[in-house]
Amino acid sequence: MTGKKVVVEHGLGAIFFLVLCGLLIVVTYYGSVQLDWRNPFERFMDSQTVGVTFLFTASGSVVDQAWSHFFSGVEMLEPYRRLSFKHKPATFADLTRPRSSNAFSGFFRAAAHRDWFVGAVAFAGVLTKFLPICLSNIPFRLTLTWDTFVVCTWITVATTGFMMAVLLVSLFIRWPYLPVKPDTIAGGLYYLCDSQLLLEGLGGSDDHGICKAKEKIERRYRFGIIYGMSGNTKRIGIDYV
Amino acid sequence: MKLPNQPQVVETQHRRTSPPRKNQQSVQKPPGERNHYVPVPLRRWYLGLVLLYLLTLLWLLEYSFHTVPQVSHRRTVGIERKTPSHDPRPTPTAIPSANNTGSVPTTAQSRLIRRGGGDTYSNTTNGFLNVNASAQVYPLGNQTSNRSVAGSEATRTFGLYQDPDAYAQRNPDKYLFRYRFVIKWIHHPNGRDIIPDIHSGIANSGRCTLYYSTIYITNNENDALGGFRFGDRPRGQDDPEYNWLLPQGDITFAWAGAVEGERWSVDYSCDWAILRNLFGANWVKAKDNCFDEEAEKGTIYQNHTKLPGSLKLVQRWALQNNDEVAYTVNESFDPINYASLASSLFPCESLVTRNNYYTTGGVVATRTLSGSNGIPTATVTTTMPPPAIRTTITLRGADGRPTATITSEIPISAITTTLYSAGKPYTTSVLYRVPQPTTGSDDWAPPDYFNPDPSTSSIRIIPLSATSYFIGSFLPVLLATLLGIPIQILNRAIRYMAPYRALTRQPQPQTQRKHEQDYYGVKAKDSLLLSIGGIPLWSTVPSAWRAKDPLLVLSDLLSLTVIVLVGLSSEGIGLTLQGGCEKKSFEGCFMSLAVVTPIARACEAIMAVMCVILGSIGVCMLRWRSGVMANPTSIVALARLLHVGGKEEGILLRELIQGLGTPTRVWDYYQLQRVRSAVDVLSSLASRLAAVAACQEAQ
Repeated sequence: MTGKKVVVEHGLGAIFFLVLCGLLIVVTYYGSVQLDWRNPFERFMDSQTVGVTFLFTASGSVVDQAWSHFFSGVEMLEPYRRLSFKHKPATFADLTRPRSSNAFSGFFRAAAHRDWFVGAVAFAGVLTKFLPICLSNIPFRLTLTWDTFVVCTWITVATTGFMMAVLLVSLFIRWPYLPVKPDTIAGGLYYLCDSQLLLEGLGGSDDHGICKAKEKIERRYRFGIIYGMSGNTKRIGIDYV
Repeated sequence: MKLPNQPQVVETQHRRTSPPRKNQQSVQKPPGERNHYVPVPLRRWYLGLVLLYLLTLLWLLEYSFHTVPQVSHRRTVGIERKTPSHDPRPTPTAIPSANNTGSVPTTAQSRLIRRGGGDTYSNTTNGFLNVNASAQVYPLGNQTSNRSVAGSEATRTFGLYQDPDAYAQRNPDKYLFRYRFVIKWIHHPNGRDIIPDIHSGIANSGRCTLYYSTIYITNNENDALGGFRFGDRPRGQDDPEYNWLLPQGDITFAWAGAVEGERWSVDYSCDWAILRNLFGANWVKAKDNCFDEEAEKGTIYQNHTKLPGSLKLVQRWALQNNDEVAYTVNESFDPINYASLASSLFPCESLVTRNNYYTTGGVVATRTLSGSNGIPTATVTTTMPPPAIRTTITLRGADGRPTATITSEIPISAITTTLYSAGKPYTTSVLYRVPQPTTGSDDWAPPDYFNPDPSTSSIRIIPLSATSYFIGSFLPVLLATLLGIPIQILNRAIRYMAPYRALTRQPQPQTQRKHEQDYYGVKAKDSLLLSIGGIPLWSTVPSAWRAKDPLLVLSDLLSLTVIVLVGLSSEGIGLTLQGGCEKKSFEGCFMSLAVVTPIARACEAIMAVMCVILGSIGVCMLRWRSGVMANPTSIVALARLLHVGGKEEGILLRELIQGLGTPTRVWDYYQLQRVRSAVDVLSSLASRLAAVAACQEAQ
């Protein structure tokens, strides 16, 4: 990853965090104060027009999409993180674990693997799906019951707060050193290159073959500095323990 | 770095006439048949289901156009401040006696739908709804005490708005009609100007004095909207001319000063005594004193000269052009005590814009009833029968005795609205009427709020239940969000499979190759180095442009249109307020499920576009072979790409990737993109990995 790309990715993450922070502040402030209609903020929020509702609802949808992207990135790196545990070498199952297609399946899959962090990200993703519904009921209008307004406000606050907490926690997650981001084919192949893993039978043409191979290979794997099978070249990759 | 003799490999695989290799059997059999893993979101039945769901939503929205009233915008009442009192569960109010049947018809009874034919109105006795109102006219000259005596309701109303015009502007549904006129005093009894020009808005031209006024007749008898304003200065609370008279009464008038002289000119050729009688002695006295600000306050009500007899105004409306209505006032007075009045006392020939008419759909007064738990149970609306509403305003003196009566007949294509209590959570029934075309110049056919098309049903009853509330508040966004989930899954699957899709593209025929590198398929940055993440469109458009493959862009467009759809869906169908309710409270209004036509049409257009995009995606994937055997997102699946089994190809590939180096710094890897030929060869080789693997296994 070039330095520019790193900056861009981190910048996007920071912007996303700030957007969440702003949303949280606006919703909390709007839900907790009752200003006079002469106040521009209150007047805008209470205008009951299409614009303010669209702004809120669409922002919820945008946040949902952005979080889906974040979840995808976390899930992509998660196998490498598990492989890098020195005290707990990974099994073949970790190698065969595919990525989830959505937050719902990702949550159950993470729960099955007891990946608490991925599970938290996926759970936040599940919550985010309902964010537009709550956000659409936050700009007040007369047809809105007060109870609905309050409930939607605090659900939004809780969801957004949880997402921000997950984002903050992700800063403290210890990721393995990845010189290449494995989100491309070449990036993924890079860590497999010259690994003795390739010499083993990795199964046939379908998943059934993989299962048979799993029975055959009861080894442990790790991710880190390996010596390739072609020689004594030190490189970063996945290999047997 | 050892490069393979790649051109020959490609040629042999795509030329049927090429000399057979040792694995000819596998080559002739398209490798894609064996190596065609398609993730679920990219399968045809999945796309079909998404399309079906999309079409269902489209049909639902279109269906709602035929079942739910259409409005052009979401009518709501302005909010002063959001408080729990805005809850549509108003405080319990008494059941009005008039026009309240007291019986609770069943929903089936309330669903009487009358189509075409004549109009039937309930509670019609003589074709008029008689609203006997007493209006207390207070003299001018007092700057402060007028409001306090005008009744709490009116005071509250103006306390909120400070101006009937502002009130009407923000609540266009609150008044039945409005007219503005100019009163022109021509003569002064003593030959003097009767009103000094210290008051703006009262143009003094010689002996003719103009007084501009605006009258609102509202539809809520509980809220006395009234005011009588002098002056037409820029309105401000500090304006000393900001002076209101607030008549009390069931029928409420708002009087606001507005210069509409070119529209209305009511020539009053009046006697000084009339003014004195109408407005009181002190008023005249104040005029004599040039609106002396020092006039003693609090005494002005005590010296009313009673206006004997009655004053009757018959108002007739005639359609002129298309948007203006001629307004004629024929007045008659009891001849007994008005012998001194000239017969041309109130000759009027005036115009009023048609837009000024009511938009309430004929609801005169609406009250929301609540049970003991505070949950609204019904909204009872007073009916307004056609063809006219006759309002009688009785002017009273200070002692409460009637002094004059003004009766107005307002032709109104009325709508009977009867709402009943059901004891269940909030059942509301609304009856609407399409204005019937009648002959004569009096037919001005006000726009029907709910039924712009007269050919549609004439009476429509829409109960609002908890289900309707859920539909209006949550369901549209929920459905749109549920549409977003499978589309997001689809988008992600397309992104996952995009590199493989690029790698498995067939090379261009030799005749179409412009450059030599075209021979090798796609470039590495569009295949092997294609990231699955990235900002929608921003990261996919260049790649799609290079690869001449719109699939990624279509997928991104689909996911972006979902955002717009979700945003608009909350406004397409929703709850709107009907009736004439107060600014800050729900009372007097009822909720109704309605389709906001422009927004809903926009949603339909967006969904149609999404259908097209979805179909395009399906077309793009018609002849697509993924080239991989299983889900390629796991590490093992990637390893199987390298694990070609055979020695030659395996070692070759291994060396090739090893040749990428052992990067120790972050950007080493990407610098290798500049080694174009090596990476291009790599991409071409990798594109054939699946085929080679299939061949090796076949042996």
